[in-house]
Amino acid sequence: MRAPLFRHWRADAIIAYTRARRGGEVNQPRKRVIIVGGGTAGWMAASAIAKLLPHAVEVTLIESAEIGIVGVGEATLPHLRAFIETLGLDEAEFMAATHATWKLGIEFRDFGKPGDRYLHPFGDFGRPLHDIPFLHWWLRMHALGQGGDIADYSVANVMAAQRRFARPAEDPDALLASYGYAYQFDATRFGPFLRSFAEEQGVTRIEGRIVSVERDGATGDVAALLLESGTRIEGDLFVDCSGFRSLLLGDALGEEWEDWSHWLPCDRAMALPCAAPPGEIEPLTRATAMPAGWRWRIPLQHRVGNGYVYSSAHLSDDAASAAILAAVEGEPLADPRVLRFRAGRRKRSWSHNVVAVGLASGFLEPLESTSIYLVQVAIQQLIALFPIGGIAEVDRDAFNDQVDYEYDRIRDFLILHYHASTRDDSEFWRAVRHMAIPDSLAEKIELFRRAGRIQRYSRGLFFAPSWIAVMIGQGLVPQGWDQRVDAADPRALGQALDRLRSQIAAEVATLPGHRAALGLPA
Amino acid sequence: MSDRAIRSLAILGGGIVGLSAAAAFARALPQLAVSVIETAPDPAALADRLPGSTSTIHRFHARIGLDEATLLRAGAAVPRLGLRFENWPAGAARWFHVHGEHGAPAGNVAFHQLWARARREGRAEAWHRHAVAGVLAEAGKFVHPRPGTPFAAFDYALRLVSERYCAALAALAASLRVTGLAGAFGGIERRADGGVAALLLAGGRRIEADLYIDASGPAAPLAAALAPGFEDWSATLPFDRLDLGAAPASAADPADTIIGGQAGWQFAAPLPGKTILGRVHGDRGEGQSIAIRPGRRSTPWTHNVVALGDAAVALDPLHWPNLHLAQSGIMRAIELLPGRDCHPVEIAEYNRRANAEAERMRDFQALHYLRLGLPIAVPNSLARILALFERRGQFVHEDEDSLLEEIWISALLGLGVLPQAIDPSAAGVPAEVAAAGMAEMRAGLAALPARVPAYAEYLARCEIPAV
Repeated sequence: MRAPLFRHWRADAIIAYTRARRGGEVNQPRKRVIIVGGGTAGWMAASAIAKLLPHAVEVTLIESAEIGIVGVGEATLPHLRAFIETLGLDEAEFMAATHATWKLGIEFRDFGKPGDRYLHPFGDFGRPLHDIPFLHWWLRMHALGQGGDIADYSVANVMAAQRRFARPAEDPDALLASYGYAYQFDATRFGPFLRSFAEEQGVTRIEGRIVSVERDGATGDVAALLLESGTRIEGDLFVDCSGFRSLLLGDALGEEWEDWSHWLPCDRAMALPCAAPPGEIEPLTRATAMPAGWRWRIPLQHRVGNGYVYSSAHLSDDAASAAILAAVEGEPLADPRVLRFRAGRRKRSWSHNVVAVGLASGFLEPLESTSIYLVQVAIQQLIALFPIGGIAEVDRDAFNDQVDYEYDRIRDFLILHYHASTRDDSEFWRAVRHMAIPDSLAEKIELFRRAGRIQRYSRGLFFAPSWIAVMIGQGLVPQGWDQRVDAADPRALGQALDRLRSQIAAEVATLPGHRAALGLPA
Repeated sequence: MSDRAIRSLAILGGGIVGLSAAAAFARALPQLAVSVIETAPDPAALADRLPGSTSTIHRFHARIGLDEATLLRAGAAVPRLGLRFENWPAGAARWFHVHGEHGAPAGNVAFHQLWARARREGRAEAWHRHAVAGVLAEAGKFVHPRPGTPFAAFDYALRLVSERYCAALAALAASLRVTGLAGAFGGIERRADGGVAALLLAGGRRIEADLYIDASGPAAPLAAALAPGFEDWSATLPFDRLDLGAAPASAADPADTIIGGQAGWQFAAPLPGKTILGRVHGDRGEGQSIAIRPGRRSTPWTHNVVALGDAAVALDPLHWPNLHLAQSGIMRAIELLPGRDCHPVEIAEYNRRANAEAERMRDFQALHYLRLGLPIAVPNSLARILALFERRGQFVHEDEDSLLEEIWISALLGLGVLPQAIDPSAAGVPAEVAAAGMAEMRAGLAALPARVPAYAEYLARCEIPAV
């Protein structure tokens, strides 16, 4: 607990801090930050940089109405909440503007084998007992044929299954505090929503198409951008949010691409929105395995987003289009639209004075809704390591280390979904389940398989509950467990687990339905 | 799964580390048969004989069920708020390294960013004066942390009276049905797979167990018989000799004293009845010095043998890492205890974590020697920490580092590593506002020592022997 003395001081300082931002105190010349691209990544970067470094920057964003945005990132992770809060945006306004729904996790169907289903919930399984993770207590009972499904000990899972939703409890010790939530929203509306906020923060928007990039002869840094209109835009720091084109980092600077398609062979998506079916809205994103990849289903307030992520080596675009049309459960609201991509990333996301954010830096398929998270990580790190005076190698290295740390972990986690499968019903699945996997993943799997151990991380994505959900969900049940639980009396342990399950079921039953929680008519 | 479980454990070494391991394993795994081979104490086993611990000792005690109040009343330990550094860096004013919050963040701006700017402008008092433990240590005062009061946000460690602490552990181990026998290492019998089938004692006695721990000190005959590999850190950590002595009881003091010098450093740790004095240096040829070979065993866990304490990592006593790492290793070994086959994947995870933790501790000590102006080989990992902090006051906490971020930052700032510039995200707090807030905070903190008793008086009130 913090001493009152400090609380008092903290409140004062925050007020003063806010005042100073409004006043726009200037200590050193402002950096001219030029953001290239006005999609989700571009407007997120513009909003955050202008809001959090008001005294240090002048932000200009260049976008062209002629260039479309990818805008398929409809499903997010709980971290987006922190972004919304840090910017001081109103959650209700944000949700209304983007027709957002709540999300408690991602349901995977047919991944381990046809007929399987499990939720990767945003939250814990059970609670630790005597400092020993819940998993181990459950594993012991599971070996005795008791304890039921581990999913029954996840509040988020039980809530999602009943299509209910409420925000987590404030008391951190409460059962109903053991989960988090994210949003599912219309990504084409998120950029415009942020645009008005960013412009209020003083971001200048320029409409135009970039025709050439001028580099400094001595340093190789980007000096200016030339627009089709003839306008020349100079800057100190360029943020490349140009999407797959990677206009600055890839095209202009030629930063090397590290290809991961041998691990993640899906290279196309066929997107198709459809009308929302009647009835309660599921507070979850669904990923269903398909013969040549998998299909997403993301329920929004006004429609359902669908898409088939596939490997073009195994499926033609026409066949993918037919498959997604056959799979959607409501009336299609557009023609199927194809997106092309490649799994991998640029070796460095920050090179010279160019920082790539989002797809301009790399791509990982949306199986775990990580696209917007990766945008957020890059923005946070850029703000944390924002240049002081000139750009220092040490800052750039620290930024690139952080981005690598995130990319590598997500890559392993995605590969796991394909590797931990016994599907034998298509060439695609036979190929992915037998492919060589990174050593880092092979070690994680073997460590878990032996006794339910998981590497600990202090930063980034996918902590223990995520690995537990996917591994057990796809049939990788540990053979052993922490030996400390062997001392417990199985009858008493069984009763304790039963009590926990009943308590979760009882508490979740009191929560409202998802539509009611959104304020929508039943 | 009982058919894969480890059923028996034999621990070589009956000092603090061996008995700590015995008590911890016996407490966590009541079905495990634990025996301790009480070898002759190795004077170079620093974790077994030095008085220092860190604030993580409370968690360890809670795990094994050792009651701190009982220890204190028995004169086996006294609380310690921190370290008083003198002449470190050379000629620098004295400063305190203490545990707990320093200042308070302003929104999402770290306090040390604001402090560093004020310090560069000559407008900030020493870093430790912004922490409760710092003002108390400097004033020679102490209270236990009290939630809900201004005396909440700090932590403390214990100074141990080795013989009495060891006796308390022995009594605890005995109550947990740990068996002890005197003996000396005589050799091992290997299994076909390379693991240890039996431990042979000097008299010919044969001890069989599923798992063995070598807690016998840096010579580690058992661990070395399996895996002799050693990573030498002597290029980074300059001192390899320790002289230990005891002086009569000195005035009770909540801080240990550390005095820096180019040819070595000294410490004084006041305990009930005596003061432990030490000198860490590199002079060869002195008969009484304890030799330290800084470094770590390449694979602390090999087959079914785990090295713990000085058998795993040898460091000089700066910041008392010896017992800290031993306790951390014990808890890690229990958390990651493999099946009887000690599958390589499972022990690799133990070794990965243990090595990462030990290397961060090495870097932490090396930081101090670098700031003393000694010509050491700076590991890349430390160079990165320094570059980022010196430039902008940023610190990235690595997985497996058992030192909290605040411990690193207090050391960096205390040692005079002052960030050259304020981070842009902190620059939005105007300097005058920060200065006013800091002055108010300082005034509040300065008033705290008067509200609590002197260290000796507090201990006397709690019936804790102090002198």
